[in-house]
Amino acid sequence: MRRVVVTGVGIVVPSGIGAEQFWRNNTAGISYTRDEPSMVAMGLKSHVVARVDGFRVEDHLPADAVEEVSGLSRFVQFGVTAGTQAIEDAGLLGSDFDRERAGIICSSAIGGTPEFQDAYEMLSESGRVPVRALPEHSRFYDSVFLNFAPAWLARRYGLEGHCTSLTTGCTAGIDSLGLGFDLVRSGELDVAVTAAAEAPLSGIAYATLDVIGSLSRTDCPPERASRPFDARRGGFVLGEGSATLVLEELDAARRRGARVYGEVLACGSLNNAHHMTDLAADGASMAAVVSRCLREGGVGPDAIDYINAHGSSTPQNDIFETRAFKTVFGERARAIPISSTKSMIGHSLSSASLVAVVATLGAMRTGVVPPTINYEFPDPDCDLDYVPNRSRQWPVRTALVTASGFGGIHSCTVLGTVD
Amino acid sequence: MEVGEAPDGRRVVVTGIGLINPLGIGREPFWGALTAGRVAIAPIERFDSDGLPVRVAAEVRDFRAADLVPRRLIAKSDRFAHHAMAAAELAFQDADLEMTSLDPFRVGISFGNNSGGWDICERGFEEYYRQGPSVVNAWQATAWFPTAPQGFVSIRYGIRGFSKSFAADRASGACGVLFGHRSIRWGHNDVVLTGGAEAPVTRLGMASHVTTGELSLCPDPARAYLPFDAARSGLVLGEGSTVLVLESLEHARGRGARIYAEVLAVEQRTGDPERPDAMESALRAALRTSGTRPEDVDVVFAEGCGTPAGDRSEAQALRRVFGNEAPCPPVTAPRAAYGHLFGASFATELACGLLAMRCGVIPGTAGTTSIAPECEIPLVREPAPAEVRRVVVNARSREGTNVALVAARWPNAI
Repeated sequence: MRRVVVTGVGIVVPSGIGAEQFWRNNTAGISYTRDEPSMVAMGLKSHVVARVDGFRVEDHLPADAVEEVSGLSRFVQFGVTAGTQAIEDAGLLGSDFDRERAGIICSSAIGGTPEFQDAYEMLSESGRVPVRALPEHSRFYDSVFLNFAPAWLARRYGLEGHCTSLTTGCTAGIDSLGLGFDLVRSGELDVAVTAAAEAPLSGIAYATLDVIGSLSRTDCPPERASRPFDARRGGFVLGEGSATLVLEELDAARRRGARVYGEVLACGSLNNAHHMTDLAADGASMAAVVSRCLREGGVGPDAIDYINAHGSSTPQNDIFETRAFKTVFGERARAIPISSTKSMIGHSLSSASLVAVVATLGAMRTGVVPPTINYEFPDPDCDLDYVPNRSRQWPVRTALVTASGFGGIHSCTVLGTVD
Repeated sequence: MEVGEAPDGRRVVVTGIGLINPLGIGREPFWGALTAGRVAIAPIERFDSDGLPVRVAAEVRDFRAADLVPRRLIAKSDRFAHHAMAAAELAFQDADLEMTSLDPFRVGISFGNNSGGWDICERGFEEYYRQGPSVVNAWQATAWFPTAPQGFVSIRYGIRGFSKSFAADRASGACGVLFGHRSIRWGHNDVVLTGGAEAPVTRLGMASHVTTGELSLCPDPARAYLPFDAARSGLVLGEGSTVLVLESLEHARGRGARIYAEVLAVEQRTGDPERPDAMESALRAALRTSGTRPEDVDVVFAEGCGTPAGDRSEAQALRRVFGNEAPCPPVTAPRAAYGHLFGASFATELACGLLAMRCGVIPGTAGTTSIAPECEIPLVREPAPAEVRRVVVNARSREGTNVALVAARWPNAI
């Protein structure tokens, strides 16, 4: 099998646009979760979100590109922005890659839901009349459905192989990495752009997630509402963002002198086949996917020296993951620093897991692992080392990233440094 | 070894077909209706389409989810997931397969769905605006997202292995089949339920899909969807689900399964949707990977999306690939009878190919009467008897990604 490395990174999240800014703020442990008054007005129990403030697509793309995507939804604009960053960061444009052996796997859980709600509101006069049709020339389909961003990136950058979107909810970002990894590893592609884009902040998303108790209900200042592994955690904070990674075969990357951020050693994904949202407390489903992934990648559990966890701050998940890590790593689980990026920027559904991969690549590059902030009250059931509140100097050579999502899916990846 | 071939050379075969289709529920009713030349495109009955520019669709009627799906799962899920669960049940039955005899970690799902759950989505919006945001139903969050069918099918059957769901416009189902095939080739699974589901025939769904610019606005059901016809005006939306059981050859043989066909190759290429180049490239790649000469192909199941540029460039691609060395094989677009199924398409046309191999009949392209000069291809209009050993299935998205598949009758006759 061929070795697969990351040669380009793009990211748009509340804590930064571009990898350097994200890595800096992510290790500084700054919270980006904020009060959302509209949620109070709606009568919901949660009232906190994490937003990418001040995002303007024209600040990040050339004029011709802006023209093509202006007026389209926020998740599309995030996606093309992070995608463009990553492809340019990888220096693909100047290289002579085989276009038919370059492809893109994007992902999104719920696409242009806010824009969809706006359209419904307009077409139905807020539910008062049967919906009218949108005008045929409207760009609603490009804006709201899932496949515009990868198709746009494919066309603009000449990616003429695979082009599709994964929709596997909150694991979709890491799942796109997994498919890209398989495509390059197996020799089917030389270059795989893997991406996730999500901008779900909207009334209907708040309402549907709040009613099932997923969103943070913790009675605390909004900056502290995302509290993974803390005893007073009470749900996740909905966030938004996008991340893109360019994957290439190691030797090809070296030949063209590309910068290598790290190697993808293994990827895994399984279903719990138990429940669409609930998690069994024993963590066995996550333990199963991590164990199998390590085995298939030929990586011993002892090699893992950092975990970027799903750490969503829901009561169930954080116990579930903690138990899974104990099952896989035994006593050594206590010696592995574990952090949740969601403590700072909330949960951006599909994007969150790919953002976690970017955070981990940053830890491998800088030798600093990011913290889990808002950790105040120890939970006896979550008793591992979550790097509480402050980042830590810690060399990372081999790291694990985990994700779980609606539909009962658990996915993970193992990343390594390349000498 | 071809580039892209798995090192262990795992071969992938089809052993089960499950269909919930506007033409019929189940393999035989569907195939019987299709080869009798019946058409399921009709004026919309499910809801009042008054005021919408599109008035026809291919609806799945006479479908009672409770016949095939546990009631506890029906209440929590949208129609598109009902379609998927029912088609999965039929596929398991057809393959004579039970989960109890399988390693659940070696069974996966690879589905396409482009548009999510519209019924429950509309219900959620109505609750939100009429009763208030705090009383939205508790199922919506897990029922309307496009991976819901995968989730519900995995829970229903205890399927634990590598499973993914794809959205790529008209090629959504094709991406499901491609990566389902790969998940066996790459060694993730021994058995995969592949295909997809769709249920966009709701008022909000139709109002939204109009903006693809590809829906026929023709109100006459008999004239609305005419692939490759001079009078073509776009496609008609259908709904339903097709689920196929894919297995590694070794696994299928090990249990003595009845094998329909071997999937020899599935390839994807992306380019300008109005030009033939990327489709040509996908077709050539699939022929090359499968070791198929153009003259070995007995029928091509076309995308036939019914748009002026789409059909023109597809015909061009087919002529380029097949036309120069030998007469182009028969081309057909059976979806003219049951609508374009997006996430459920491709697996449906592959099922048609498998049944054509078994029954010696190529289904026709209902509706099309006068082939446009720029679409000159040997289009099958009426169901036609033929020896079918090797089929090509084509898919293309509105944005320009193309998937081409080659399957061969089992036992392989060439």
